[in-house]
Amino acid sequence: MTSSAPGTSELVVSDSVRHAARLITQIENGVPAARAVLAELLPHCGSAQLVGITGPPGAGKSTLTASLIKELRSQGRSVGVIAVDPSSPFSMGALLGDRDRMLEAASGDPGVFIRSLASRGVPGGLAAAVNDVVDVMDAMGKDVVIVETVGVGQGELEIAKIAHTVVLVFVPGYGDALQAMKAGITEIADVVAVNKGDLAEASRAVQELRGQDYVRHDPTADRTWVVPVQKVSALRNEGIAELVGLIDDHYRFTAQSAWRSEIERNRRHAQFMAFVTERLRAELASIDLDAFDAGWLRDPYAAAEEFVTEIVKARADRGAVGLAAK
Amino acid sequence: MSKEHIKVLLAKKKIDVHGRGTKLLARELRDAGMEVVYFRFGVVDEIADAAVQEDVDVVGVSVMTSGQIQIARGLIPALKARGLDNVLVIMGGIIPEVDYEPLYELGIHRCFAPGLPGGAVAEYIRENVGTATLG
Ligand SMILES: Nc1nc2c(ncn2[C@@H]2O[C@H](COP(=O)(O)OP(=O)(O)OP(=O)(O)O)[C@@H](O)[C@H]2O)c(=O)[nH]1
Ligand SMILES: [Mg+2]
Repeated sequence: MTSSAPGTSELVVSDSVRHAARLITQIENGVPAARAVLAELLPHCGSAQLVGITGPPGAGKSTLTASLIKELRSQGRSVGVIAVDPSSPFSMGALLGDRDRMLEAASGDPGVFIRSLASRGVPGGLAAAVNDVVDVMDAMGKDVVIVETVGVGQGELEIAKIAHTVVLVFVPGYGDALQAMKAGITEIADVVAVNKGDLAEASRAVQELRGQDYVRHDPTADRTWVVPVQKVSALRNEGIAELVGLIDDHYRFTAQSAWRSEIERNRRHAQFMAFVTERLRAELASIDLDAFDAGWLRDPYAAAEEFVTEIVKARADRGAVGLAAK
Repeated sequence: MSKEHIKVLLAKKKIDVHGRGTKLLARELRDAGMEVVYFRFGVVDEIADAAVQEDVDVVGVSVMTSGQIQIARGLIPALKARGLDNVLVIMGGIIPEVDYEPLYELGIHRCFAPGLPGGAVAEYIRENVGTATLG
């Protein structure tokens, strides 16, 4: 250990909210310096339980997250929350309103760290940033990291790859949207929470969903996880302890085979891909077009193919694995 | 100074039922391209905690039913104590003009009268973000 002032990574590991929060801003902005810090954080990562909360707009995801925070805190578990809201495609501005619903659950509690993120409309970029932010909260020592995202669309499927357990928040009485949500269940949900259980229609929705017998197949072993359907009322704090129990059950289930490590592997793979893509894009942008063969001008397709093949071949020639030259 | 992504925390007292003004301003700032964290606070420390966790560039507090002096007196030191010494702090709502000077002395950078077009607030933010200090 050196006697110099602690670096950002050490401050983040020692739970400095200020430094963690600024690092997260750098991650959002794609500041290259954040990469080095993230690399230093990695040895301190891997102990957080990652929970994804997704579902249609207004389903009560934030209110439910607040209830989960309260339950987890009562069990002595620290919590990080990453709440993602969409950016306006017109102004690129965003209204981040999730925090408002969670304030009471977190007020004055150093064991809770909530961060709102705007999606910023970068395809694939959001999931990459969220993955890195998860690492920051993990390194800070948060026991559970919850990621809230809206909707059941492509972006959410990406987010689903980050979490150990995906909770789909379902609400009764959605008509057509119900069919779309059912598709979402089979694709991503590990646990279904039927929220607004205080409303009369909830019981019927729960019955209907339970009758579907949704299962998830362990990609690494010949086992299946039966997707539980839990009725909750985030507003009245009902069914929340049960929901946390189900999330924990699933988390333990994934550890009984290679499923858990498969999830971790996918996360690291996504980070690798995102970083390579970002670095290559930056390198390509800095190429002086006049300085190299103008073949791209006559035949951009062939020139591009040749360009990429050269890179791949250079790796293949020195025996590097992972890329095969065509 | 201009900045690509300006993040604003807009806080409104929980007991102030007149929330329309703040919601409207939040939307106007979003339409001006800013990322706006909107929430209702009970105590001033909640604003400061949110500001540090969200790493915002601007803190805006809406006050409809008095208390602005006490809020400023608590908020500025709370922000500084958390290391947020170059955040821009603005206030709006129903604040009598005689209070502007005392508020500026406490460290508030700018007060806005109610009913002001959101464009004026956005413009002020864009021109002053990143240059403010909490002395
Ligand atoms: N009756 C009832 N209302 C609820 C419940 N949970 C949330 N709500 C209400 O549903 C509305 C939306 O709640 P949010 O928690 O903001 O929902 P969300 O899914 O996070 O919304 P977005 O982030 O905007 O997609 C609010 O008015 C809540 O008060 C519940 O259990 N019962
Ligand atoms: Mg929400």
